[in-house]
Amino acid sequence: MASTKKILAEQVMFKLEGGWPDIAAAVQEEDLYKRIEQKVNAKAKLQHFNQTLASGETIPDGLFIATYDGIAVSAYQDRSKSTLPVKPISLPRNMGIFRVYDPRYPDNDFIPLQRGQMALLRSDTLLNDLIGDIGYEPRNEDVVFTQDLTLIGTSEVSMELVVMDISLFSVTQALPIPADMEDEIINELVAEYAPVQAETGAINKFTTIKNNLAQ
Amino acid sequence: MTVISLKAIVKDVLMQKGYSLHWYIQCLVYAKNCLRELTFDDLRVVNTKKIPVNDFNEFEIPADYQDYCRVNAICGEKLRPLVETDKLNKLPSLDSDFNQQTYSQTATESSALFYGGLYPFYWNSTNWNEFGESTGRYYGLGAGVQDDVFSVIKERNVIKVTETLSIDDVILEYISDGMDADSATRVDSYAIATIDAYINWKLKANNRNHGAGEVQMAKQEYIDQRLILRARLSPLTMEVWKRLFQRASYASPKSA
Repeated sequence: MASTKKILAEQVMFKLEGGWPDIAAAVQEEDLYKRIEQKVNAKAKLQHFNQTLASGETIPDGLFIATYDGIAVSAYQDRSKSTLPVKPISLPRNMGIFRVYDPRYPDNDFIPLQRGQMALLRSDTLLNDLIGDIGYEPRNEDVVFTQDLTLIGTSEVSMELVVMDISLFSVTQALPIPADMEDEIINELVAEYAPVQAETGAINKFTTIKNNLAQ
Repeated sequence: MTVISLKAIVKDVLMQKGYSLHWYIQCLVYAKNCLRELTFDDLRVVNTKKIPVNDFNEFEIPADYQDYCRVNAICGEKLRPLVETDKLNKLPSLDSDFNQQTYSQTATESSALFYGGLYPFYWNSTNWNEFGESTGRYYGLGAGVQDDVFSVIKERNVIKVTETLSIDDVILEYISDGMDADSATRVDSYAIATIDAYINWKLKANNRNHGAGEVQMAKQEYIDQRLILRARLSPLTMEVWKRLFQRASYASPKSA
């Protein structure tokens, strides 16, 4: 199950406090939410996505295209498939899966097909192999390619998926980030916030300020 | 003649309209259908193949065959076009083991009526004078027996050349349906605007967001582009017109 901002924040808190977080902890969950958004935006290489579809439909505001590299390709029957790292926004014509390509050839996108279109094209004498191009069909959490990419030396693909702006996700909404990114975010936040200490018993902020100014 | 691939035409349309690649396959299907129609009438994709005939003087029709232009017998560097006939038996002749054989090996069931059987009786005619000169008057001879014929047998997907003609190969010139990889990657550049207009028309026709009037205008644009394509590809020049008239003109004696 994908994590939420709250779950990530709780995990960071557990590590910082070495156990159940105290209510008086120096770092609170609310402090971490914004920082998680910033981390995700930075890591997912998010770009604002704004497009009006040709048929006149519009895409809701606040969408981003996130780039995911290093998606593994595995053989599947006589073809190959890759698992979507996150579940993209559902859009017409499967535009939620915006681009899929071999990172070695970033200008040669694979051809997007709608579910079941390849079965229709098989009966066409000219287009049954997409005139040499490679296509992909979404199938639940996978994308199935029309050829076995592993035979042509492609072991990984890059995907650009349309996701919602992270700041629009509530704290209890599943985030569109892969598991390895969650782990990185937690560890980085722990390292970042570990030096933050609670206030000591001495209540003398003015003395502290005076000393600092004197220096 | 410059050529362009069908994929390039489709991607150009997508660029013009600002569409993403998610529209590619739909536009490619439209472009393919347009190419097929243009190949039948305008682009004149005529394939020429040398095809060996089998023991029964038949050969299989190519997969992209739509219609023939000429079926030729080879005469050195020249070709002798054969003539289509409907008098060849479309059914194969089979022996007792149901193996195909030639009709010359088949025992005829009826000898009363066969080609060349009703021979005109010339022996009771005199066609020379007292000096031994031929006086002609071979009336009713006709064109004689014509053995340079073939028949297209669509039911068996073969073209059969008459068995009386002894040949090893034929040169088949035929109209292709354009549905092969070579045709799709070598589209005449004159046809770009026509295919472009066809795609635009079909996108509107298959979309409920466009009214009937808009669709009709797009269709008319396609028709106009097709007329322009025909004009571009027309081989008729003033010199050709002159030559056509000149060929049909012969000197003849003027009657007194």
